[in-house]
Amino acid sequence: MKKLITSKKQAEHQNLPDRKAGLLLIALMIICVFLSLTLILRAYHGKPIFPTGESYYNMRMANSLVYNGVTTQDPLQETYYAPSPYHFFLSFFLFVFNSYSVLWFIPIFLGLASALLFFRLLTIMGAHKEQAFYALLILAVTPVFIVVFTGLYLLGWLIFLSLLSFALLTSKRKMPRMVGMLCFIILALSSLVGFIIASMVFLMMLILMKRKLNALIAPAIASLAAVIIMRLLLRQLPMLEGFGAFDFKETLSLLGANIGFDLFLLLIFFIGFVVLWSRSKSTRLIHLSTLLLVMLSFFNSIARAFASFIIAYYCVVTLTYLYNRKWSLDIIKTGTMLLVLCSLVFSLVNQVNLIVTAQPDALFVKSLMFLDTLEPGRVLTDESYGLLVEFYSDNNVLLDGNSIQFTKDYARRKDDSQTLFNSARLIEAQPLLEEYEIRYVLITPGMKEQLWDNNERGLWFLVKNSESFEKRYLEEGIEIREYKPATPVMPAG
Amino acid sequence: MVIKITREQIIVAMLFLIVLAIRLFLSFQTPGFDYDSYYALRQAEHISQTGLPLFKDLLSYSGRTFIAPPFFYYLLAGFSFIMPLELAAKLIPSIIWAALVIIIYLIVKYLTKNRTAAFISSLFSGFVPVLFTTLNQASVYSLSLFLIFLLSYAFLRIEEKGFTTMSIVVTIILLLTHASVFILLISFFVYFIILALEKQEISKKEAEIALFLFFLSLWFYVLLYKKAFFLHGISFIWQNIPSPLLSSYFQDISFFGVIYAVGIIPLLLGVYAIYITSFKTRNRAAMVYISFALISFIMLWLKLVPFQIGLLLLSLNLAILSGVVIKTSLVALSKTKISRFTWIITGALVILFIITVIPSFLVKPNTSIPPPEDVKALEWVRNNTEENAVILGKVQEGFLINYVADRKNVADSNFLLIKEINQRYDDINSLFTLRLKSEALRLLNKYDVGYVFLSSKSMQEYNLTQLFYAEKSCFDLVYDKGAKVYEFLGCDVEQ
Repeated sequence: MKKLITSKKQAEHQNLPDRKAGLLLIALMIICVFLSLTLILRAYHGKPIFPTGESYYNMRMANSLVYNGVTTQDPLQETYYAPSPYHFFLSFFLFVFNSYSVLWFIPIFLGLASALLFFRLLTIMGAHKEQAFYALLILAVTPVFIVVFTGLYLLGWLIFLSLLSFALLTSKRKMPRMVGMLCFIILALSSLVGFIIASMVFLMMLILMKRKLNALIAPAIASLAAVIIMRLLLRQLPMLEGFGAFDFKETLSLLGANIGFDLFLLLIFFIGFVVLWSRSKSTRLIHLSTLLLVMLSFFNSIARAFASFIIAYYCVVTLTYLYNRKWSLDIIKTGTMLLVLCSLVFSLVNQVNLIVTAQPDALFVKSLMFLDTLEPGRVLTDESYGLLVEFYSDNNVLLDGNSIQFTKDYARRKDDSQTLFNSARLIEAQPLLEEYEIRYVLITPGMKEQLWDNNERGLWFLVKNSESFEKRYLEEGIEIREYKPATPVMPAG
Repeated sequence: MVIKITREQIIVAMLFLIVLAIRLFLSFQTPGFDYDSYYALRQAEHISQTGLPLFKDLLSYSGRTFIAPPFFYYLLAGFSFIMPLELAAKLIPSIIWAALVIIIYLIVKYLTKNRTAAFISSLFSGFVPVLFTTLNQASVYSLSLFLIFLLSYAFLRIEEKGFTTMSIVVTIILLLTHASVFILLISFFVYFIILALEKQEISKKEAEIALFLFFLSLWFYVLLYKKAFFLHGISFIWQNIPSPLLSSYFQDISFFGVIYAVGIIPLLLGVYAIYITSFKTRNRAAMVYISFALISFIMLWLKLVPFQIGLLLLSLNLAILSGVVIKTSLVALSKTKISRFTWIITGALVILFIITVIPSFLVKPNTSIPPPEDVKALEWVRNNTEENAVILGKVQEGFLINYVADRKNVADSNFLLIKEINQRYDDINSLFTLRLKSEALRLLNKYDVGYVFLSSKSMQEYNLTQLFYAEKSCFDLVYDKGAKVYEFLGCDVEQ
């Protein structure tokens, strides 16, 4: 009998890798379905694959690298630009395939690779394979994961590189460790803040795994040296990306944050935190560090992305705890588990819906294509459309999504653009239009609703009623007007 | 089967009837309701006509969407089939407010196992001055507060059979009534923290039910108010109330304000109960109400709940907690030589309570009931203006315009999902005080106003007898009997 049990255990043990691979495959398939479904839904609605935002900037810069080579200035906006390894990575694909279509697959590929690496790291750190599997499933519904891996975001690249570095640097063989160090250097050159946060997370990992800190020290020193050399060569100070004042609207996806936490996941994380905290005193330092990272993430979007991965694991702890706990009443258990699962589904649906409904749509792209056929000139439009205008029409804009980082007089420009949007009289608008050399004004239905509450007021009223603005395009509420200041007529005699 | 009615039940029923009778007597002294109640009346009216709550309203803000849990309005609509709606709106909230004394009696009895203490506490809760500020309100808070205390009672007895089901049912009704359930749920978590700090064991069932109810409520309200969350962000908590109004809606808490609203006796006894429970008796059940009182106070202090509701919660919790001190005192008295005078001392306490709260009743409340002349003016508007006309009135009068005149308003007191509310609020206020005709015409055209309703209240508030810019070329004074109604003849700024 004893022999039978032993042989059964041995058989189970032999099946473990198969089971692990099976679970991983299922999780990756689910992630692939979620990510590609988001993009397919956009395509189904006739929209460009990527939602508005950073993706269009990254595509434009990658394209610029292919055709203009390395530069230290944004060729269109003429603002500061630090060559990013991510843009080189994208430009490689553009160069080889000579089509933007190939870039559609990059985020999904990075997402799957990141999920795979996350699974591996969890198992290395001692998580049970089922736990790692569930962590991947929860990760797949986190807003940050869905956002950064359905667009060409630097954040996605940073996460992928960090996870890859962690996996390689914890290897026992020398060659992978060398490659890991290279990845860490690339990470540091891509984003200094990303590098710092990744280093902190890696440090926590090493402490938890009771490994020597050498695995971090050497790559960190090499990376810092690379950053310093790079910055000396470029004569630019490094930028600290992603920081902002605490704002719920930037932190919770429920309130419309682009890179935000789901409220329910955050709550489930806190339960997991309490559970783990009370379970073992020896790991409390690690949990405290996690809490600090989550707190930091309220002020930094890069930290938010990293924290989302860690939160996924804590959520699994919560779910396992709630499921395995002996409840006084089964109905309460079923109800609570159902509510938690519903909240996870809600998180997914909410984020997918946000991405699918995001601009640009086919009509907007059509108007931008038309703008591309006109003579070049600076465009005045809402800041959120800036990167789209630059990508599709190859025109300079007054403000875009990067202006807050790269434009020195951002605050002044922002005030002036508000003044322009509120100007219903040419005498108010003219000095600013001329100062910034605005040639085109692009007004969308979204702007009409947001800026003027669908009442013909401000700049909308002005461009419609002033002879100085020539109508160049008007379709489905999207208007392009060209500003042509009237030539003063000399008085006769 | 013979139902045996005990003396205890008769006494509690009598207390309930006395509180109800006094409430109804005072309530029927004044015809009509406070301004915000007309929203409830419209909802109930719509439900009784169509079976559905008013979701897309063409009158409020000249067309907007309402999001609100509808159970209370269904209740009013249900009773409107057996009595006139306005009578139901007076009667039902009063019955529910009065029924609070029964719940509080049960709670305190469970807490102290002492009938006298329970009776005195429920007497306190029936006559706390702040409760009488709700006399003319057809307010959803009447039901929500009743359900909150009922839920807290079910939570106290959660280990007993049937109370889990009861707490789930009450929570579901509460979710369909008002979002104030969160105040209690947060209190439960504070209660757990206090227990953990005192190294007392947290009941498994209590923790489970609290977690379940929290997830249920959060999920329900996130789904219900998703659009509002998205539009207003965190200011959703303050219901998108315009900044100038916010200060009056969520007033600063003052010590004398609390004494006036709660009454000095329940306040002193309640505070002392917090002390003896926290440091001496460590009564678990009382801890629930200490947490509840603490959260009510903090929310009131941080202006997270409307002033009146915060005070109501605080006073009812203090009334419950005062039962603990009364019981302790009664037990202590029974061990002394003057134990036979216990009833006299108890009676003296009740009389002292009555004496201390009487001044609060004698002071004429700052009534927010529309004067009859304003209502008559709006009835005239109903009969003599075009159906699609937009009537400009004070923000406070918005629901009244909708209900009595059956006409569109420019704004009312439900600010959720309204964009640029501060601008709109400022515009409306300036339309009553402006002297510059061109600016007034611009604003009137902006909101497509057909008639300006200058109520007697507005005249009082803005200290005016007529609109300054209402010249005959653009305005026609079509009604002038106490309140005034101007017809805007549709001039442009150029004219």
